[in-house]
Amino acid sequence: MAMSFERKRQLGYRMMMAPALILMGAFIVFPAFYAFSLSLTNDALLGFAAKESSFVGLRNFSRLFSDPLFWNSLKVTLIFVIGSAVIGQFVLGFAAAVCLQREIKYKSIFNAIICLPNAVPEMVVGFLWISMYASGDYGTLNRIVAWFGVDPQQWLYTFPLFSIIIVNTWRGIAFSMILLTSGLASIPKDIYEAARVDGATDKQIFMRITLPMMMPTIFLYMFVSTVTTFAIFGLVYTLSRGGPANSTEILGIYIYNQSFTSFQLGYGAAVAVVSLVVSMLIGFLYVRALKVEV
Amino acid sequence: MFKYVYSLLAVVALNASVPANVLAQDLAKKSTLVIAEHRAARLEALYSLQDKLEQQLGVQLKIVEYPAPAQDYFTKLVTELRAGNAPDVFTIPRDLQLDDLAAAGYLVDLSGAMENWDGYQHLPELIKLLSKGSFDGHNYAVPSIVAVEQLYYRHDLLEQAGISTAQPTSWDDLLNRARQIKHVTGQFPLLFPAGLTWGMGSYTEGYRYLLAGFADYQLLDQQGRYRLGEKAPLEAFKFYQTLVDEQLMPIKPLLNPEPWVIPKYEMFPKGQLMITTCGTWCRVFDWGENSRNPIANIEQAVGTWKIPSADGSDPFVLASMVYAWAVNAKSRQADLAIKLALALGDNDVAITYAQKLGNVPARLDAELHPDYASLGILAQAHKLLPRARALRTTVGSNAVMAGVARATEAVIIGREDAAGAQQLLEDYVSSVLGDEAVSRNQ
Amino acid sequence: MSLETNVVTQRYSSAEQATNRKTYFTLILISLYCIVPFFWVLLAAFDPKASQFLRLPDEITFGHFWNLFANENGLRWIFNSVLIIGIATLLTLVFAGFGGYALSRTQAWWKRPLLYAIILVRIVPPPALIVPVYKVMLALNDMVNSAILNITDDIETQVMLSRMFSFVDGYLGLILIHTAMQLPLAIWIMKTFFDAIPKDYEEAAALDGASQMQTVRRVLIPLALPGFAAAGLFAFINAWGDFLMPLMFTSSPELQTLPLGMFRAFLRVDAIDYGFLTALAVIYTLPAVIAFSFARKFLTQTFSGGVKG
Repeated sequence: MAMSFERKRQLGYRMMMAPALILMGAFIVFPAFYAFSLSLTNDALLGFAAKESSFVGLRNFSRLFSDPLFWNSLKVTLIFVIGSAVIGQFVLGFAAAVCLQREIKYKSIFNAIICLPNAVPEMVVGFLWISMYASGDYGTLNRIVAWFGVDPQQWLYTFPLFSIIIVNTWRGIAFSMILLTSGLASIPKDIYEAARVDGATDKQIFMRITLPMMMPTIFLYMFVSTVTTFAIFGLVYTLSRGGPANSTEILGIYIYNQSFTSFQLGYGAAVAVVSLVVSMLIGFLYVRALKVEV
Repeated sequence: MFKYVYSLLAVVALNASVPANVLAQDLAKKSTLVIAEHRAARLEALYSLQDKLEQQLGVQLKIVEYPAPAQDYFTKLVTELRAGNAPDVFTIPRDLQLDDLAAAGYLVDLSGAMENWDGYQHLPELIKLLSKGSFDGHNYAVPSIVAVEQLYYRHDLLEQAGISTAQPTSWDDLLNRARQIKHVTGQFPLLFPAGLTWGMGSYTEGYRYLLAGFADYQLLDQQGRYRLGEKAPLEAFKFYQTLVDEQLMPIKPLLNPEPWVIPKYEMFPKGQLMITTCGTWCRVFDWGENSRNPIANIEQAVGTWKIPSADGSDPFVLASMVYAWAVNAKSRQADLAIKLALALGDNDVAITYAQKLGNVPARLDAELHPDYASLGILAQAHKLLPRARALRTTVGSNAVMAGVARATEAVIIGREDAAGAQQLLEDYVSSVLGDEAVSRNQ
Repeated sequence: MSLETNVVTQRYSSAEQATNRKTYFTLILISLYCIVPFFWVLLAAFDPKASQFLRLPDEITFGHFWNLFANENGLRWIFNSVLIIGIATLLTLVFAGFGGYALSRTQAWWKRPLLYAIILVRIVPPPALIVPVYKVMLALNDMVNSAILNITDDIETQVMLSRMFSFVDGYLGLILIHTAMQLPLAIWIMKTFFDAIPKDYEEAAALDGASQMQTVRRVLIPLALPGFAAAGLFAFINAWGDFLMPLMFTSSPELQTLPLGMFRAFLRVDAIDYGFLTALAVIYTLPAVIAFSFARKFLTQTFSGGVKG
């Protein structure tokens, strides 16, 4: 009754896969589907529904789509993603990558300094920047802008969304720099030489050669950073918790606030469903567009 | 590898059990009750009472510090109650949170224990009522202190301007006084909190003052549904609308983050705002000698008025049961925990807390306590308790408060008139709680 | 002729110089942006009069760091973080090692769907999971706790057991949820590394009479070591810095880890000990920075097929 060697091996592979699949299934895949069924209930952490929740159909969704705070949160998320990932991190990371391609001194020091913010835990990021943004004459940023003759500001109150975009940009320059550097390195040097011989200017070289050759890397970067920025939570939670007045309430924070400060789990799940659908759409587009090889 | 994991686990086990061992040896198996407390002033009060309580009950108290901000405290408490690892005894910050906690099954029913407790008879009827779940009439919390809320006004400045400081007798009287103040001094006369950013306070410190101005109105009907479509809620929104239309209230600061800072901590002390809603603690924490924005000579400078009614009934004060003690339904030592909760209802405890927080003791017999005199001016507010008013809420009070915040916001930014705001409130509450939670037009 | 060349080189080099100046200017500006926020925490950690504001200390003290050892909380947070994240990283490595190997070697029908599924799983934003995961954890927690009640009547033992094995507010739950969250990336990394190891090596070893365990120990693990390093480093960095899971699933002070302990200490608005917190922030950040400096070189490889961790 001995199993064939091949069958035994296949069984072995399945056994090896099992622990990881069980964990990911229980804590990621099942919850993601469970969110859909929760979103159709009035489940809550308070009131009678905490003891026994009931099916309410699409009520959470009709409430959601007529809730100005939800639309606000979607808008804030969009601005946050575009401002920090698509513009801030990308532009500064690209600039750093291009600069570090050149033969210059202190390359590794610059490199290390730019990478530093990326390694800092979210909680510490919030901590550092609360001190940077501290109001009054002694706040670090206020002292810096004072050199330029600007009055002290209450940064997190007056420019809340802009302020957290600055923080997230700060944190992500390293990632875009590293990724784009690898993209730059893969462009063959002789193309540049040839272009120079033909008398192309730096600007022309950048626009006609570097940028087009970098497109696949840039596309990959945009996808990755959009998805990760979309999933940010701790950084904004420690800095502003979505306030003041919902001005920094990105989707993740909105879900948390609805579920754990208003205690409406069913409604929170409905927002989560929207967020899941959006990110899955991005994911499918990506797999399609890049024809990812697995 | 598993050997390492196992030895690591053993280290944790050791680590976790050390305090327990120490306790067991030192106290010859005294039971330990876990009690949650937060905010420096309240912790101080509890630490000062700890020895006495431990001796009285023969238990060991483990005081666990909870996050200070109100929302963080409540979130932590609720998630722990749901998960079953909450402390044995804790406080419910405001009476309007009691129903939601009780309905979820998180609280021990204290009805029997409280009937046999000698403190119960000394509670004002209103406070007895507030300690009960509105849906079943059972007691779920032991009242300790009460916030007494009314109108605070700049006595010094009104006298200077030659404006009457007599108690306003009706809404119209109050509005006329406000118009006169605006005309004579050019400053903003009145503040009733409103808007989204003030959050829960738009109801508790604003709208509620107005709703309570109708002696025959209660927020709940016989079936425990919210009565939002009636005359009183509408009139209350109209009052706001008048304040907005005639610019009797500062609107711009209310749209700021932390909207209370400018009107309450800056304008009122500076005399740019003459009347505001507030509670007994304001004299101590908001404008007292040691506060950040002291008003010189506060005892004379700031006076209090009762809240005038809209329907010709007498002016009144509002009472809220704050920080009442409750017992975790999943407590492993519920009987002992109940004893502790009742002991925390003593006047000793209440007076210690009341002093530190600027509130008044819940029990009327507190005035016989030797330390009663230490309450000073708070004693005046304590005397008003028996005739105070309150509005009971039921499950879903959260939604009502959020709805009021949205509806008053719509009024102050001029997007809705009173009727529109009322509609908005009704729609919002029924979209969150379901149509069955709102009593529609009778 | 020679004159002309000279002019060209001169012009070329002055253009070169201008570009160089621009390069340095850009890099210095970006570097300042990156480094200035660190000044405060680095100075305050050694400043006896540490406050929320950046200032040069009048004198240097190591007192805040000593305080960590005197102050039970700081030490406990560090201990908990190391324990929870350490075990989670180990588990991630073990499970991802097996999983990545299987995915690399199998040709079964489930290979491709599973790989695509893992890409999608990596895209799921964790905040979208908080409600359902919370419900799952609650259900598991209720099971564990009713089991504990059946095992023993002694309240102290119950408390200890539930601290160890609870899913909400217990070590086990935090370890497993962190492991689960790090697995997709780790499996991906391991699979890529195993793909690069030719199957022949294993077969050759098997032909030489090595047992399966020996093959794994002597051939596979050494060859896949860089993969384990990369997977372990990323799992560690991500889990170590995570704030959401501790926020959701810890509450008792005994279980507090660094991120949440520090955050809660920061909420004590009336009594924040900045010296203590900045010293702790330095200690909390250091392992992540060190791990990142090692992990850097793997960064580009790891998301070529998917998403950054």
